[in-house]
Amino acid sequence: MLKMYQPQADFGTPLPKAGGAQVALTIDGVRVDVAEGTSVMRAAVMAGVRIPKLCATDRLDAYGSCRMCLVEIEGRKGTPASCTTPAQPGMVVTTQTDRLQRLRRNVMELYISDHPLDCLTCPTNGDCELQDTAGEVGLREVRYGFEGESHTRAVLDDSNPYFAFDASKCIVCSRCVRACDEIQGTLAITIEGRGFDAKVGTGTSFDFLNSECVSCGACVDVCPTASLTEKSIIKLGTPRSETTTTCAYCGVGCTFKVQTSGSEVVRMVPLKDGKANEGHACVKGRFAFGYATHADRITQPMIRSSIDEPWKSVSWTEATSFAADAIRHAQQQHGIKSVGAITSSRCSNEETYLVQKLVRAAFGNNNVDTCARVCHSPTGYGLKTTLGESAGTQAFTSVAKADVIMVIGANPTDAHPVFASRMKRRLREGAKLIVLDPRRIDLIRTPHIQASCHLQLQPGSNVAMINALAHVVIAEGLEDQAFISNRCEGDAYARWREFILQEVNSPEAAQAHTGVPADQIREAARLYAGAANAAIYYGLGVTEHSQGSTMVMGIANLAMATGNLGREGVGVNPLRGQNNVQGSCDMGSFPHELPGYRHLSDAATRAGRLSWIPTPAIASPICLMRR
Amino acid sequence: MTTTIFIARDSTAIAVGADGIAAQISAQCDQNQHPVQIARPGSRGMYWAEPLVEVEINGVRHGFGPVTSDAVAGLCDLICPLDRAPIDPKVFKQHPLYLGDLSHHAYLAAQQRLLFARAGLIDALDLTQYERLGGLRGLRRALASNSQSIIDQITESGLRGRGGAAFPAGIKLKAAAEAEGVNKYIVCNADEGDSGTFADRLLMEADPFQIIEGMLIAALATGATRGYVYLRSEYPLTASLFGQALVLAREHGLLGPSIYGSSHSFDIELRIGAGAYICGEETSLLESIEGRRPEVRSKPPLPVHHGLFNSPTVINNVLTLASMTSIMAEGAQAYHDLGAGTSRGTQPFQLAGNIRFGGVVEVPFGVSLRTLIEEFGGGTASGRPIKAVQTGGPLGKYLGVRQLDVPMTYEDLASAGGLLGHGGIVVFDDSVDMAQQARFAMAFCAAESCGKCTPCRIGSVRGVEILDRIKTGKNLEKEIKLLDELCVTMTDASLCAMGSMTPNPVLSALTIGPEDFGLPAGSRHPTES
Amino acid sequence: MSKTLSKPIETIFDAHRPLSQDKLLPVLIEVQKISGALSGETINLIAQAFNLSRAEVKATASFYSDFTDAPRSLPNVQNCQAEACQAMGARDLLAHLKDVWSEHYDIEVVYCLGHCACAPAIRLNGCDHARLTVDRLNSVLKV
Repeated sequence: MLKMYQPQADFGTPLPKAGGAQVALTIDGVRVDVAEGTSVMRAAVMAGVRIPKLCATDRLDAYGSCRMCLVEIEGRKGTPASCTTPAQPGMVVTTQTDRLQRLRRNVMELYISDHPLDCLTCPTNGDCELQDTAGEVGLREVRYGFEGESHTRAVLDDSNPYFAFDASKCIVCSRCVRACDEIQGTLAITIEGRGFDAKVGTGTSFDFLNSECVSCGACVDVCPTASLTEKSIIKLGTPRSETTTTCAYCGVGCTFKVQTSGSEVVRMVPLKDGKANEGHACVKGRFAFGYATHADRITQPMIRSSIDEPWKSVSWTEATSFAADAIRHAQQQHGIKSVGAITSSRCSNEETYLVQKLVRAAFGNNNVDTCARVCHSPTGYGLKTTLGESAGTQAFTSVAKADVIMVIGANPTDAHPVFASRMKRRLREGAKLIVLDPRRIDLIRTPHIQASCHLQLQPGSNVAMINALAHVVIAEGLEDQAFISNRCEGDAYARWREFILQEVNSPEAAQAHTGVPADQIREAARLYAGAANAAIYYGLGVTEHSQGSTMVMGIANLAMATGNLGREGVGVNPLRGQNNVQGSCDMGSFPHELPGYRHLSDAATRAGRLSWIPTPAIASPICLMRR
Repeated sequence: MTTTIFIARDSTAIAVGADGIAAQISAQCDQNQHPVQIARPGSRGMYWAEPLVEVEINGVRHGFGPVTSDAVAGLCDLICPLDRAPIDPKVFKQHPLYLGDLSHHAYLAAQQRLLFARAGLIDALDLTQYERLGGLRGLRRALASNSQSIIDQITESGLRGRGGAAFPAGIKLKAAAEAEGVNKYIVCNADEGDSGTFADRLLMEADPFQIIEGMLIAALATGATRGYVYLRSEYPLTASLFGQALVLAREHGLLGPSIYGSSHSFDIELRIGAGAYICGEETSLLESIEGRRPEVRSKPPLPVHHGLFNSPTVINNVLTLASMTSIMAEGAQAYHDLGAGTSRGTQPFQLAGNIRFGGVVEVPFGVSLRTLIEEFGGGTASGRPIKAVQTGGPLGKYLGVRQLDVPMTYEDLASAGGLLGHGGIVVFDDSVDMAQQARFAMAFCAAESCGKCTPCRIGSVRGVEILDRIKTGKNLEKEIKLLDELCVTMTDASLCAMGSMTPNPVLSALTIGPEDFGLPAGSRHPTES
Repeated sequence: MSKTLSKPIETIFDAHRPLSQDKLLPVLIEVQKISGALSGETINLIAQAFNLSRAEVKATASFYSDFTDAPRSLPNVQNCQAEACQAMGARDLLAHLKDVWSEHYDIEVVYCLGHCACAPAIRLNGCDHARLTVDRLNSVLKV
């Protein structure tokens, strides 16, 4: 829904890690109860009190550099920074006194003594935290004058295609640096030099474009001034309205605010409350929105009778009757099964549902399929067969609790960057990484992250590898007996156990197929099985193989054998290619499955209200095969 | 019989020519065919007398200093006469540089040395000599007792941190002992960046085992298994000597998996800085050891809970840790008996700048600044009247001549508006321009600020600019008012002492020498600073 | 990276392995010592070896005044301008250095060499000289 543009609320410091007791304190006479570890700044926002701030944002850990958020606390000396002071029971905080007002105004005066006075022509005029805060603290003059040393003549770096870095407007709050570190995990930018010479820099590169920067834009997002600004904002001005939606790119499914002026997109801002992305974005989602208004985009219905004819723009009425006629004609000529439809995983659930319903109800056959057929249908089949549900087992947040992460046939930093940032954060915290991939993906060695095991297997040898890993787990007694006896089917497990212990599944045997030395396989298996929480993330390197479904089942079996299911930090996690692979499968896009994965052959389903379902006699070949 | 001649192997002694003098004397002795052994202990800290040449005769060390190159030939006629002629100490006193039997020299005899008791007397790298003069007794007692009783001893002694903050050392040890952590660390802050201070360097060069022993005691008190000594890069000789001492300590089982056969394990790594004053700030120092930009951390958390590598860490100055040796050896009471008020024990004051007899003077707290400067220091080197004395390093206040009677304790100095800091005392005569000193204080802050917080990063630069404008005499009243306002902002709003204490020298300079700022004399009341 | 430089740097790495971040400063110090500078190329090499971003290494290296990004072309004179030396005429000494010796020496202002009891002091190519006067300074620099 289109709404007026409104900057997202900011609590100043992040939510503390869960589990602490409640702490009651008083801020400006308002009593507030907060979780232990909450900063005074955050507690104040919760109490409805806004404390001026510049370096603090709830996206980043408290830093304490801007000195705007000073408060007075009863019984304490001085004027501590509220962002770095944890709330304590019984604390009595005052956020506004003459002394604090004077200090804040004086600090702001120092900032502005090294800042251009060009607010009216500044790209973020009206959407600038520095400007707002200067107003809040009542800055009226800069007594130092503007003749002194300053950075206002710093050269603009507009090398990046999506954003510009104007060092003259930088207040060195380090938010960009910390975002690159804490949120994105690339650590491409930093503060260089010290004292007054300290400035945001791109390492040994001259500019942003040639640096280690991946243009995720997290730095631009958190910048409280116009120092880092989207080129679209520079060109088009600040947005007037916004609409919350899901990113149209990969399977992470980030939630964005599409900010617009009229019908023009001026900025994509990841939503802090977005479940998948929690305020983060990647270069595609944030900056690659040019398609929305691209000249090649089809914005009206077009028809043509044969491939050698040019496209002709027509009305919707003409287009639909043209299509209906053609479909009817084809069925009359070539039979009822002669037409079908393919749905896209970029479509919404509603759209996909309607397409499959159109095919089944109107075309009268089950000739519907989806692009997920070539990407993640093995996931749907394999996980349904083994775990009972055609879906991954975890939410993205789960990775924050994993101790060992196994990445199979996926390259998250390139293909699922926003999730990769979460994963990298956990890896930097010390989680171990196992990579099964013929490629040397970036995760194997990237700043602060080094994979413990890289099993560089031959393409096509996935199943041999996963079975060899399982073989080690069982042969060395590393399985989770309690989980197996409580949660797995006894007979099935016994048969699988017998199979997996066969010599053909040993690491030594697998070595011949995979090209990976047996001891490396053993090491990886022990690491995975020995973890308190081990999680598997896999991508198309698993599913886009002829043995994809078998591999998915092998993965699920390994997770079950080690008890890595059913809680945070574990699980079997497919990384989907498009933003609604799950939904398009859920909605019945496969010929043999109705919405909700109900099998076509299931009499109970067909006996229900879905009278439009074609009979099994004309069901798809896949369905017949299963019989 | 071979004569032993002692010439200090000490950074400052060498900077005033000790190596050259040693070589010259050695050559002259060869020429005179007089067998001598030239020993190179650390310095006694009587820097005014360096290069100090000591000749040991019948167990008495006769001193000559400061010895210049030109004086060597004449001196050698006395101390290593030609053809092994007998040495006659009685004729020494005719020599203009003769200082007498050094053990009775007033400069030393009037001191009460605990930390520097061995300085200059022993070979810094001889553990046997260290032990013979009382070393390792504290450690032995610590090994024979337990964590709690070590903490009790240190607490009862009243020892406070010598780096500047004067935090009670026992409380810090206790907090670290109680903190949860698999690894705990003892970090020795030897980033002695304050101008006018050199006691850490001197001690590390003259008696390094005392620091190692002190760290071991702190380790036994807290359960720490690893220590770091963070030394500034400006002290290369110190690094070399202390590094050798660590190797020797390891060889003798003092450091390693089993300290003197006990179940305690402890080792120390020497880390060298790379030119940054701010690394003397404890959290910046920890960042530096961790290999990151040494920006100051916000507190809480305190290092004692989340310090080095996020583990409980005791970080103390060299002198604080070294003091633990004599406290453990002689007992808390003996230490507590010295000093005044809540400033217990001895403090090595360092006399520097425009002073006749510069050096280390270790005396109990409570001595007056005047006694230190006039009786030990002999007044200014220039012979001109004193105008200002800066105590406590570049962030300390300038005291005027009317404040010289202040007793040197943390409290008395604080109530006089001063700072004891690390015990540095820099004397200026009346040729000093206080406005220039105020400007320097801001310029130093600008040069050494880590740049994290705004009042320090930008404020210091604006401070320099205001002081430059004050020098022009224009809009004086307005500029002084702005300077006052800036100083309030820096004091109250800065993240660490670098920014918050820079106003100390600035405003006190204004109080002492308003005329240097173009203001009428006496126009600033001391309370304004 | 030229072979002549990367070989000795590798030797430094080997002496400090495993290259955890806390070894960064010691390695930077040694590399600066043998290379006379920490060039961008050198920093990239160090970042690679430590598995740190290039920006992180640059951030640390650029903080300390002992590090330079290009080797000095002239012999270095560090002139102490801290308070104890100021009290003994260090400012005049610096003025003299700049007037007379700036063509022959790279003159660097530092704060405190620790010879405060024998001020003023300089460090010439790593060798300290204290209790200086203009005449003594001239004789030291003439050598």
